[in-house]
Amino acid sequence: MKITSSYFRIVLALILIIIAFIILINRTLAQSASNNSYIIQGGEIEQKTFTNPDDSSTESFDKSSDKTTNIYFGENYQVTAGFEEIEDNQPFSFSVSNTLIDYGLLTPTNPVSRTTDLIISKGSSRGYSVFAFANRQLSDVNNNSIPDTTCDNGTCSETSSAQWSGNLSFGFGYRCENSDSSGCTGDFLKADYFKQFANDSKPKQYQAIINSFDSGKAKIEYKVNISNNQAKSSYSNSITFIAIPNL
Amino acid sequence: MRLKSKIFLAGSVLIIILLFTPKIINASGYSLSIYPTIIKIKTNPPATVKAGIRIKNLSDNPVELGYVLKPFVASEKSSGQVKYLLYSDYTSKNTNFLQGVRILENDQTISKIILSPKQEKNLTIVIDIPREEESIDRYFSLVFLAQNQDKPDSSYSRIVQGIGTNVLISINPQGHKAKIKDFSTSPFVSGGPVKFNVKVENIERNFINADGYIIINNIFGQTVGKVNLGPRNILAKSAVKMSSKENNDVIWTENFLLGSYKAKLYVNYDNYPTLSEETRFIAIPAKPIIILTIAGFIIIFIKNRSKSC
Repeated sequence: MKITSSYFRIVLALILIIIAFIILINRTLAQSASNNSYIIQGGEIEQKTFTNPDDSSTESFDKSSDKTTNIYFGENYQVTAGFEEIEDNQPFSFSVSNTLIDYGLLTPTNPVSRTTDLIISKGSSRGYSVFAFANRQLSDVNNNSIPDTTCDNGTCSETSSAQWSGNLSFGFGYRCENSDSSGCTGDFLKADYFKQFANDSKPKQYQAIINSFDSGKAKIEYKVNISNNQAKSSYSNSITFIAIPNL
Repeated sequence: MRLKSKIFLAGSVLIIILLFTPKIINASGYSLSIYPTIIKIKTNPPATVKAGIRIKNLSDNPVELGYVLKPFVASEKSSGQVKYLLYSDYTSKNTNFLQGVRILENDQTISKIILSPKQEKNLTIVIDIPREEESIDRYFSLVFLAQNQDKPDSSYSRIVQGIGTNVLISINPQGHKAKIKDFSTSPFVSGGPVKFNVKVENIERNFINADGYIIINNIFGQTVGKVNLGPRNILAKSAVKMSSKENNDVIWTENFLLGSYKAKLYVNYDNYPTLSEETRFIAIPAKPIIILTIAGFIIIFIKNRSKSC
């Protein structure tokens, strides 16, 4: 009987502690109030002055925050430049560490790897993507070409990645490694996972190799490995990286 | 004679060095910036739309840029990414429309731009839209391209660097209409942060700009949290996952949660009436409850032991 009553008291105390937690820990935001019919949202009150649409190429101005909203009017049109609610107007920037990847003299079963750093600053965008594609396979003047890799198990393509570590798997491919929070797509989370570049001559859909919300840096690794049957020659192609802000 | 032979020898060595030194190729990269990051146009043709673009060469080498216009649609991933059309999918309407787009520098139409190191240029994009243009949206990226022209003797890949901005055009915009396609979270959570799934669908023919916020109330009706959603441009007939202002997900960062909560989503778009939707979730902090229960039993056990002694 005694045990039951002390047990009951402790349980009661625990329940009271939990209820106190619920009531005390949750803060009430004084900026807003609501019920089923309304919501009052506090905070900064924006006062916008829009220019007369008849005035060509004029700019509207947000008085409360001294921020330029970049809305222009012309004859029969209106232009909004940038994201309305992003206060700074920082440019979007994209750097590529090298513009020529020299593979040197290719020899059979000796894979050659080269890298390029891509650095993206998102500026006043809301994230961005980097698309990549090749104009063709690595080819020589006689139209001999090094095929795009299909990786060790023959399954990788421009849309799916796979492991490529064997010296007897031939072709040309790439992988994307995060140098920081750059947002290389999930295809490259595992080591030695490679893909083909989308081939613009076939044509294949351009693939986003990076999709990120924040500024960042990525390392692109190119890999080429030729077989004994590959004609000794100089092979070349162009690889395009397009950095574009998200919508 | 001896001096002559020395000069001859030095000259020969110099020539040999020059002949066999590998050709130096300037393969260092480029760095470019562009502003604005998006250009949105609403027009009732006929119109000759003009908008400014700033492009800057941030590198220490001069660069020659060409440009291309690439039409796109919304990506199926609903992430705000674009999906470029293949050349084979271009229609004659796409092609005709893009033929009306020009880039001007100092009022002269250009096809190439040369930027000195650190130089910035103000360009103007001009889009001629005739009266008879179809009343639909047009979307394309204006992409500036830089490439190295060096050609080594060995095997190589030439890197073409492209940076662009997106242009959205609504021709004769009609009404806008959107709906909340998804507003959900895990029905049971053991604690914060809480991630919400928010997807908004544009069901009309013109792009919209949507933003909003989520208000979270506890079991007593008190407002305990607010998450602001960042603005998103949603293309015609497409859906987009919304994100918070700070990152790519919609997350309420409160850590200690207990009880039943109601989250209400408000979405605003283009000055149209606010859309709203609710979801509920229950937070049971399993770990603290287990610890408190074990502690309770230990106290009872010790108390009983001390009484029996």
